[in-house]
Amino acid sequence: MTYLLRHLQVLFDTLGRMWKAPLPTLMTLTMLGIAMALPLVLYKIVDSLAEVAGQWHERPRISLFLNFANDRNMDERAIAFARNLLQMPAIDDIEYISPSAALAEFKRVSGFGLAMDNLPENPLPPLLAVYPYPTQERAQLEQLFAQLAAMPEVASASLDQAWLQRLAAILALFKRGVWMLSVLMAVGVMLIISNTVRLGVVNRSDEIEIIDQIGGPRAFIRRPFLYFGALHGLFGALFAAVIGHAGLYLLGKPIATLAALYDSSFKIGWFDSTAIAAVALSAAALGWVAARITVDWRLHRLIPVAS
Amino acid sequence: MIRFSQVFKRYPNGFEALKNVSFYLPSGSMTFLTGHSGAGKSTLLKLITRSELASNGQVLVDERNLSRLWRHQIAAHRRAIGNVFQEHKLLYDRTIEDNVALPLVVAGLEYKEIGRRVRAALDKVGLLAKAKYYPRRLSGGEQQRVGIARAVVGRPRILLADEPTGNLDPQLSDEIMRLFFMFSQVDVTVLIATHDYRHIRAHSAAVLALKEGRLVEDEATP
Ligand SMILES: Nc1ncnc2c1ncn2[C@@H]1O[C@H](COP(=O)(O)OP(=O)(O)OP(=O)(O)O)[C@@H](O)[C@H]1O
Ligand SMILES: [Mg+2]
Repeated sequence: MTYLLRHLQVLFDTLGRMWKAPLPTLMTLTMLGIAMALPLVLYKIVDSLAEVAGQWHERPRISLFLNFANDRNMDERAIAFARNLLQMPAIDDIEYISPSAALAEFKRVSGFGLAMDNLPENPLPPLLAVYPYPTQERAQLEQLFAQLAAMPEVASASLDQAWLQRLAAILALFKRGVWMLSVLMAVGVMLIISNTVRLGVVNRSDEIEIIDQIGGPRAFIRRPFLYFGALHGLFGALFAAVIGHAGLYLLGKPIATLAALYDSSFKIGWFDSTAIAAVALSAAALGWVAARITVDWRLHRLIPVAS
Repeated sequence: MIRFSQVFKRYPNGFEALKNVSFYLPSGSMTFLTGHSGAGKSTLLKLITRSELASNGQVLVDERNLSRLWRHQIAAHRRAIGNVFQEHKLLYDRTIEDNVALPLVVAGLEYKEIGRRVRAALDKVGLLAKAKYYPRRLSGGEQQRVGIARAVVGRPRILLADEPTGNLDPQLSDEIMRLFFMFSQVDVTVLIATHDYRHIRAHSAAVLALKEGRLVEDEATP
């Protein structure tokens, strides 16, 4: 009971010390906040993109351009061919897009309406949009693609997922980058806290020497500094959450505009509270460890055991 | 209780502050430590608190050789000693009562008990009325008395004092000496470094006289 009270007292005493020196405390916390906000925001963006990419991933599409362009029965032939393909167990659904439908869509989207009207004939080939079952493995999908591409009726084929795959690779790269950045920033956080704790030890060196002289154990001398480090980590993370939210808010609009251009309603949300709690706890732990190392190192020189 | 056998203390710069010092202080004894400035009084007291380590010879407290203590044992050893420092060594950002409470806080006593004992100790040195003051508002003599209250508040088994009455007027200093004497009556081993031969005569206590780091026959006491 007394022990718990003692810890609470050290906690409030440390909070009081931080409160009584608002400017240095604020500066340090802001530094910590910025250091932690950077990977947080990047992680949130990459994570949101990955989620969207994952949703698209669920419906890969193989486009087959058929080689009966100038055939008069081209629609019937294409539909018959599609019926045949539907027999294949891997294929879920097929959509036929006739050259005229494709042209109309192209005019609508591109705005090249009049220019296209002057063409002597429709240059677009008939197109089958083949949707394999979404559960397909990547390898199976590629096998199916190769099989379809090799068919005599098919002039050319494209697996529309290729760019998604590229996106996924890029995202994986960014994710790795965010992790590396996080590790670097964790080191930075520890260095900042270590320096702050070092200053604290120097400022209170008289007190430390006196407590050592009257028989204060190391743990007792160390304790306020450990709280100091942990609290800086904790509050630094909260600052990071605020700074990060401001960043996400500022990025939100341009991202929404960009997403609209890609016909996507992609939106970055806010950090969820569990993520913030996790970051805050890790930062507190980092602060504690940094303080522990720094204090031990300092005490070793400040109050050595005479020998 | 405290035994020095053939103790030498050489500081890192090569200066030999204590030379071949041997003595024994039984439990409950009251002893004065005298000698000119620079004779080695503070050094001797620091050897007892294990703030310094003997270069040669043995310092035994309760039959324990202080050179064999681990760090946490040193802390526990110091908690059993009340120490009045030559420089008061107060915490200037804490109130008088918080300063006096420090040894008890370190020892992990309960709050109620701490409050009780701190008031009792401050009462003994006549500073109860100034418990809430900060040290800077006190005179030199008052600060010294705060240091004395802090030394006795933990009911130590050994009481060391380095020039505890240097800043006190004769009347106050007599009172403090009487306080120390009372401690020795309840089996506390008391060792006081002082220049003030008045006290030595008044209390007819044992004397350790140092001269240039050596124990000598004390010429001043009759
Ligand atoms: N850390 C140290 N390094 C080197 N020499 C020291 C150190 N501490 C003390 N001395 C020297 O040891 C000698 C004894 O010092 P000490 O402080 O024990 O004297 P003292 O008897 O307490 O004197 P005073 O009455 O002035 O307090 C002095 O000459 C001092 O210069
Ligand atoms: Mg001295």
